[in-house]
Amino acid sequence: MSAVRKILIADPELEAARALSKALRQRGYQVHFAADGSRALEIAVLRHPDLILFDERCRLLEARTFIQILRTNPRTEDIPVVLTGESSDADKMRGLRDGYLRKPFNLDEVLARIDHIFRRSEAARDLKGEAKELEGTLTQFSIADLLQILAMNRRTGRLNLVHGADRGDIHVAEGRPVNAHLGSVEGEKALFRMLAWTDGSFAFVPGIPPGKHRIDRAMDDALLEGMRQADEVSRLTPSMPPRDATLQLVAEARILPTQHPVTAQVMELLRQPRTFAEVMDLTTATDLDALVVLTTLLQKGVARVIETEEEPGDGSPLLGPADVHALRTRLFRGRVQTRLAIAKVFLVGSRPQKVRAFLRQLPGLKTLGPEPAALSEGFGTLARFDIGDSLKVDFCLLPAADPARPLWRPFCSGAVGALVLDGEADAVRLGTFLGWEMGLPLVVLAAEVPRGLEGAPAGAFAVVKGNREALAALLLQAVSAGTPFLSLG
Amino acid sequence: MVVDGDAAFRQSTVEALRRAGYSVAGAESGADALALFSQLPSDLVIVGMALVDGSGLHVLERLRERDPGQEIILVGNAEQDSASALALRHGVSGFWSKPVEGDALMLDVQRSLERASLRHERERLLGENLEFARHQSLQQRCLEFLANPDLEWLQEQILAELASWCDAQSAALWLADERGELHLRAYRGLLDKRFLPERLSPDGTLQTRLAQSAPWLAGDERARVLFVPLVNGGETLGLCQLSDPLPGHFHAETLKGAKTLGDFGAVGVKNGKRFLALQRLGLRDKETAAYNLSYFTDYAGKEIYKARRYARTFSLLTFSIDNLPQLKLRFGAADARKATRGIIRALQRIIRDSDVIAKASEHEFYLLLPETDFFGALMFNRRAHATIREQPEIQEIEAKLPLALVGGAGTFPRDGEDFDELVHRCRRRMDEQRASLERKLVLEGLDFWEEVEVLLGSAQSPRLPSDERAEPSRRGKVSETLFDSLQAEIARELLRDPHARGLLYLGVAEVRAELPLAAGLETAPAEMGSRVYVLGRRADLESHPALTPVFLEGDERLARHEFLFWLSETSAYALIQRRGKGATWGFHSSDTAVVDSLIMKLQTAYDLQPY
Repeated sequence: MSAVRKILIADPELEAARALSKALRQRGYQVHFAADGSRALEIAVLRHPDLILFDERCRLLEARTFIQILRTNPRTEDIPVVLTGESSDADKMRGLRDGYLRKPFNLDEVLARIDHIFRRSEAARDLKGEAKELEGTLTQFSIADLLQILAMNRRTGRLNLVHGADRGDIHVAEGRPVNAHLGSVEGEKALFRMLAWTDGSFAFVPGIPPGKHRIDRAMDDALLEGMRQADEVSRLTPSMPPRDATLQLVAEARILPTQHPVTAQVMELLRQPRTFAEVMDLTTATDLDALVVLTTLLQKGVARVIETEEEPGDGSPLLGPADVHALRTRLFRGRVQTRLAIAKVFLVGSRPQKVRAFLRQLPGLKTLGPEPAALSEGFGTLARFDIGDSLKVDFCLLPAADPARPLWRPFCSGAVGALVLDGEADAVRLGTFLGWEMGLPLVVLAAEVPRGLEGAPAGAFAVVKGNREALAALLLQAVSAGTPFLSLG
Repeated sequence: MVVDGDAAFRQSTVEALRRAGYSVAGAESGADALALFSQLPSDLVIVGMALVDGSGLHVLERLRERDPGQEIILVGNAEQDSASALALRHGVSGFWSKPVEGDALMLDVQRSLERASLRHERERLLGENLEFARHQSLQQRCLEFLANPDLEWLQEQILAELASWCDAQSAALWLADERGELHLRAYRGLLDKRFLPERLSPDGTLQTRLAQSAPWLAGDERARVLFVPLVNGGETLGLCQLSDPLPGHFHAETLKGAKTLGDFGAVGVKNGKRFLALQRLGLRDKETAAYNLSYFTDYAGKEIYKARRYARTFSLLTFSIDNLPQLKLRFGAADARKATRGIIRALQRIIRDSDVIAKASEHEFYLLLPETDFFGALMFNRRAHATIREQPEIQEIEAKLPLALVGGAGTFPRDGEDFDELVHRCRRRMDEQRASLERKLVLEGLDFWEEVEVLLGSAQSPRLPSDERAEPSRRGKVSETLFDSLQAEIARELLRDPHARGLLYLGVAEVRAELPLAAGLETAPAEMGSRVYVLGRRADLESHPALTPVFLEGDERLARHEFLFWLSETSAYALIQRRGKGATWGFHSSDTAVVDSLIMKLQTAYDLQPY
């Protein structure tokens, strides 16, 4: 933003405005001041501020009238107006586009609110003219050429890339690459992976990229390193197993406790069977490092490719469209509908091994990281399972021990059921709470429902067939059980 | 009109008829005749068999096509018998053979014209009759509007009738409130609620339109819209919007009927409003002017119907003065009355027009807040307590005996599908509050940091009082990682349902970008329903799309503690901890009253916005 932002404060009390205007000036805003409504209007029309803070006690013009006048003038209709005052009447806040600030206010909060409004109006402007400055195919321009052009011109913005079914973006600030995303992969790893793309299309959208900077290299350096890694990767790839091959550590292999961090991470990942592609995505190391490590592990016989039997029923959706719709409807009851609904399913078990085993044996599951933090903590989200484009299931843990009791209810919103993994006392206690207090259906992964969980109001039954079947049974039960999901005692 | 190729005959006939006072036109060819006729239809056409451009029979047929009842006299030669027979078969009113006798001609003309005028008269009457019958049936339907003063029923009925009269597939209705602002009350058909304005202010063009009190057409070629105002005696009562007409457009004639429906609808709505006002007047408690329970349950039933029909939400609030019996016993009935009156008066100051207060029993009140979600109800509850405490009568009473006020909230549909379930839920929440730590530890008068000290205690302090009915609170040693994993999990929780409203406060030593909450909310949408605050010393986080950093430099107490308070539509949670050497000592709770009070006191202590 080249021009200095102007803010108009309309407040009959000079003292009150002084502190605020000082803080705003420190932030680099230009501040105008008006002591009454009609003067404020004059300044609004003449100086066209970017934001107006209007105090309710301003004389000569009532706040609503002031806003109405601004809104009818095409020159001033876009100026955000934030009302300030001492009333705590929620009704006043309704119908105000840009909100209400009650006095006395905290300066930091006011500044954050102003930031937010500017960010919002900027986003709206960007959206209006989502100006793709540069567009084309990667056969015309290679990614390296593109990035060099952006670096030379010290550009700031987002380079969107499409390659087959993959979509990614590279954030550039002042001509430096600062971050990149490709699916769940980000940072240098994503950048280097995309540098190897030779076909597809690109579009550059100028604007300040959101989020943190995760790459700290100059453009030339990044490109050189990326190219080198891409070459190496393509040299190593032919000797590697296919992307969908399943790898695992050889149980009897002797492993020294001290390892290179990348090796340690890859080995940690391979404690359970994972596909080659999965390992590549889950390590935080770059593809080249991971490949080198995998090659060594395979050569030394520490890891091996294992044969897996095809999972039956793979590829068919877990729920039919009608059930997905019904589950969505139940989730959204009385709430704003969004495109994507996320349901929560609790895994209730007293030992992390059981949970780990469950996650391993549910095909199609996307775990959060190699070893989700929630697993050691016994609390939080573990993994996500896609049922379709519009419905996903998150698997979550709640700590069953008594000192953690206060965590139970607050983290139950959006839950549709619980999978009980064993029948130990702690698990049954948590299961009882979820089944009776929260009215959730329970599915027990055992031959029979443990005593104490029998007869839960929304249903409790045992499923032995498999994890996928158990999940399907639980979701179907959630659709048919008539209890509300979002109850809070 | 006289059409004949024989100029002498034509001219003499025209002359004769003109003399007799008729207005006559002449034509020598069939083409001329038809062209003339289409401009100026004649009551009687005299057609000669021989025209310049062919047979008169041709003209005759064309005229018949236009109007089967057209009066026609055919003129032929005596020898053309076959033609005369043909002409009669065509249904002409007379056949003359040349030469034509003057008197007979006049007589025939006169008779034909009389017949023509009778026919016109009959057609007109028939049309009027039909029109009358249509209007009568319309009026009958309109009468329905006046038969039932129930506004809810009425608005549906008006919409249904208007839509069926205009053949509209979609319809919406706005009714005026006390201030004349129009509120969306009902809609049906192919409309998407998101595109219907909740409120319309009758100013500008709309006001001029409404003042004319006649339906008007709007929209463009593709989307025709008809607006029907409900106006009675200059007072605007509502506005109906009709769209997606079945035939593709609205007929001009339907506008008249629509006006009738609109006018009757206006009277109906007016009556309905009066009836409602009367009903309210009759159903009020004399002492406090709050409604009585029977009216309230009735109203709640309607609200439930509406909420279900239009997928809306509403909240029920219950208030109780638990120690009213003691107050009565110790200070007399007058003071007890003063207390209840004070409370109702305070509540009446902050409610909206559509909110309803009822007195359920001596010491209990119910409040119904339409279109209010659970978070809104919580916020209202909080405001209600503050306003009640400010009321002069209450301050007077509280000088003698502090009132034990308890409020509970329940929201349709998440807390229950009918009135009883909602009341039950409210009562449970009130019980929870009575059993709450806030009460047990008498925390009400303390400020934020005092309350934190009491709740956190230390390893030596006595055990927290526990109560089965209350939501659990625990204190003791806390895992080192809980604070971080809580932040990450709440960030995920917020992203799972970004529209849900809520408040989240995080108190840390330094406001850093690596905080799991800041990292987790990096991808949050711009319009999140929750307000998230991070309080602490300024470090490397200056601004964030979803967080409000509040910088507190040199705040000793904050430097020693960490806290996390979360209040949302579905969750209430608070964690306070103090990091010590080797171990972290903490308190956490899902007791709504404790969480709410901590948040309120924090807001007061650091001048933060209520929501």
